[in-house]
Amino acid sequence: MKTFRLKIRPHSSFLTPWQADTIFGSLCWILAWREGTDALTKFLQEYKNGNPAFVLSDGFPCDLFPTPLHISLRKSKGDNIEEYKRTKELKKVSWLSPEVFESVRRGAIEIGATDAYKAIKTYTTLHSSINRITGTTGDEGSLFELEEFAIESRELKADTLSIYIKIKDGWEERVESLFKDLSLIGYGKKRSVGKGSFEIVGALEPYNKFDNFGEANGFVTISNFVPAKDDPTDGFYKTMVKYGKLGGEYTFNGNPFKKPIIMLTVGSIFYVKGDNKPFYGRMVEGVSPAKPEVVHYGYAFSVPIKIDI
Amino acid sequence: MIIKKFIAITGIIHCEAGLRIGGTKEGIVEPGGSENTIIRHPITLLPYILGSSIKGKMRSLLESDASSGAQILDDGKPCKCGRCLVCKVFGSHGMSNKEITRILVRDCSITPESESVLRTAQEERGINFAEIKSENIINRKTGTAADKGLRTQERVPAGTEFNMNITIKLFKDDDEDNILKIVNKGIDLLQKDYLGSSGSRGYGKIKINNLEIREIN
Ligand SMILES: [Zn+2]
Repeated sequence: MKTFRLKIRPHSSFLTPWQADTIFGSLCWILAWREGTDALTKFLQEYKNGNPAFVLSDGFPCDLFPTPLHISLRKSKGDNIEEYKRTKELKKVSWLSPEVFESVRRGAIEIGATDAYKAIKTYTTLHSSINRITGTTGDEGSLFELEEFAIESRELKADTLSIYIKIKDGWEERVESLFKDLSLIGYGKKRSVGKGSFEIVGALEPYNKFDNFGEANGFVTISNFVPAKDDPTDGFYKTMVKYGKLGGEYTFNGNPFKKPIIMLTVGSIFYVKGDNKPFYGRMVEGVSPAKPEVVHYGYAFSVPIKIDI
Repeated sequence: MIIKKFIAITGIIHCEAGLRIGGTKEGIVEPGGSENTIIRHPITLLPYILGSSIKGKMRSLLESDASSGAQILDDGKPCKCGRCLVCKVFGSHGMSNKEITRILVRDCSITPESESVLRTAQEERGINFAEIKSENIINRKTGTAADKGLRTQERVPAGTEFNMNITIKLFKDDDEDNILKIVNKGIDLLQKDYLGSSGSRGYGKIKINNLEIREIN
């Protein structure tokens, strides 16, 4: 597998965070719509077998990276107020510049509060639907709020998101064309009204900054994931509950919801004995009572790291 | 279902009258400014037209058009039959007979020309990419402006232009002609009606120029 970076430029705010499993689900629907459900079944079987065609990271604003958890979870030394404040500040922070991320990857555990960015703005918008009889909006019950996300482009002086992809040889073009179709369809909730609308900037570019190095003794995941049976267990992690939904035609089968899935979050780190693998995690089966064939993507995009604590 | 092709429909939305599309709850209220602000991009603060405003308006106009076959429900909510062409193109509401939405209406960004005109106006006259319109509410009995009847509303000034960008995805068995026909009809009805709020008071009249329909491959 080789690592690539794909840059995209959102045309609007988005309602669905750019998380690897959700991106993967969207690409699966495109594959089914382009090549038929048999092709999708075959494609997913390889994922179930532990032989994925490609592994995705979340989408990250510009060139930033998520803060590895051992940095943001570091305990303050208690009696030192300055240190306490700094730790508190760091806990809120989730994004590091490529340089700082690299130094953390090489074992640094001290970072300054100014090394981290606030990169995504969250805000609420109010919407309403038109009453077909009166032709007006604003009926009782017709108003609803949406939580939207946008890149803090002013502070970052950039307006793109980067998605990292480890691709099996020979799959590069197919991956590109899946993303191209996704850009025509839009990503996530409310895409028919332009939310999650984006364009691809440039092409897939080879990316070699996640390379392994001699002192690496673990990995940091840059996608949420579900550990496989033999995955390492010693490390620092946080969990989240993913309330997944079925997409495409399956939205309409009466029960569009997947069972809640516990995932380890982006930034979780684990000690690894021996060589780092290019990915960890697994596909989760049996997530939809209505559609037994449905699986949930739970692979970790792993990046080698030296954990020096 | 297998995707057959994508079709892009682009055009320039020209506001023939002031346009008012309501802003966010957290809309920025300038001191002394209007309490009824228009929607602005959260980061650039430039006004734009929501894709949902256009799609919603097009759909409701098409549903009210007798030839569409859509059902107007007593509660005034969108058709949920799942069989008519409107449901097919715009997606269906409700629980059963759902269809995959074929149309994608993107948010319409202000054109660079209009942005520059409004930027100049901002520098020269201090307007914040919008005009503030005051209106009196007339007391029906006395015929005079009601107490506290003065209200102010922001509107994008007439003459402002936005980029319209619609994508249609067509599946193998879709009736391409009829789907394009209904979208075109929606665009036509939109120009005869209005966008945004206060259309009955003359707001929101638009014209779509440079309309272009092409296949994406
Ligand atoms: Zn219908």
